[in-house]
Amino acid sequence: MSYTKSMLKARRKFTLKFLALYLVTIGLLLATCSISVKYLTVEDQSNFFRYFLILSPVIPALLLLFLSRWFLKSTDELHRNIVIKGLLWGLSATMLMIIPWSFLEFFRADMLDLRANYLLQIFVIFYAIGMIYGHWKSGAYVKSNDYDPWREPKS
Amino acid sequence: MTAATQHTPKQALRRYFKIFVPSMAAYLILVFLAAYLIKNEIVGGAPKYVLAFLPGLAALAFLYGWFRFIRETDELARRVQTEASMVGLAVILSLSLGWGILEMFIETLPRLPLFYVFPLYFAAQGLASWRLSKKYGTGFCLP
Repeated sequence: MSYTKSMLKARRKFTLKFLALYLVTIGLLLATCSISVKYLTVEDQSNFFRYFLILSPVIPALLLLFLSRWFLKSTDELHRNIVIKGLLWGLSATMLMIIPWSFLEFFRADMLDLRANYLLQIFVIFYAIGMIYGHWKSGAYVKSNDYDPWREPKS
Repeated sequence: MTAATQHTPKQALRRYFKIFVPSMAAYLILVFLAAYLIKNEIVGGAPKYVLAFLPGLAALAFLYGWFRFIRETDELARRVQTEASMVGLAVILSLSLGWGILEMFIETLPRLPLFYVFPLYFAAQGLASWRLSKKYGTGFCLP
């Protein structure tokens, strides 16, 4: 299985869009901070940063899922299945880790403190593992340089 | 995911419920049993950790049924389920991140036990699934 031109295009567009959105997000965050520092009073600033702190983690979570959803729409069936498999793997592995852990923590067993904000990181790691496994299992991983649009397809 | 669909959506739904009902019943029984045994210190040491793991396994059986449904059903229902699971993830990841950050800075804020995350996820996913089923006209929604 090798990449077709449309697959490569979708992957390239995904990477570019991700980088662009990431840079725009960082830029917006920095701009908001600098405007608040310049124009708000000290008391308002502390209130502003408190709410800003609450809202800012939402951005990577939404960005990740928005881009995954967009990638699902723009790519082919094989890669769509790999993304879905990654999501499902991520979900089950996270659940299997978190339910017993939090359960023991709740009943005061000697467990390390697992905070709610670690959930995204844990999910992303398992999501990535699921995607890599999906790529490996489907045999879809071929370096993009291997693609030659002029080469005759093997029958 | 690569396996060809060999079941009609109705058959796939029936197969899903054949796993859903026993796994959810097992989950509920195991959650209450484990809570009772651990809270009253009837079990301790290594069995306590094994006991805590069991509700997770029951939930895993439910997830297996759900994934199988996604694999076996038609393209449209698969799309509904995938989009709904993304909405559920967006809701739950945003909520847990926001709450977790707040916990770090506001000491009086109650801790969010992470086992509430999955019921919340499935509530959000179910709502999104219902909404998307209406939107695409698939006629049924899960879980």
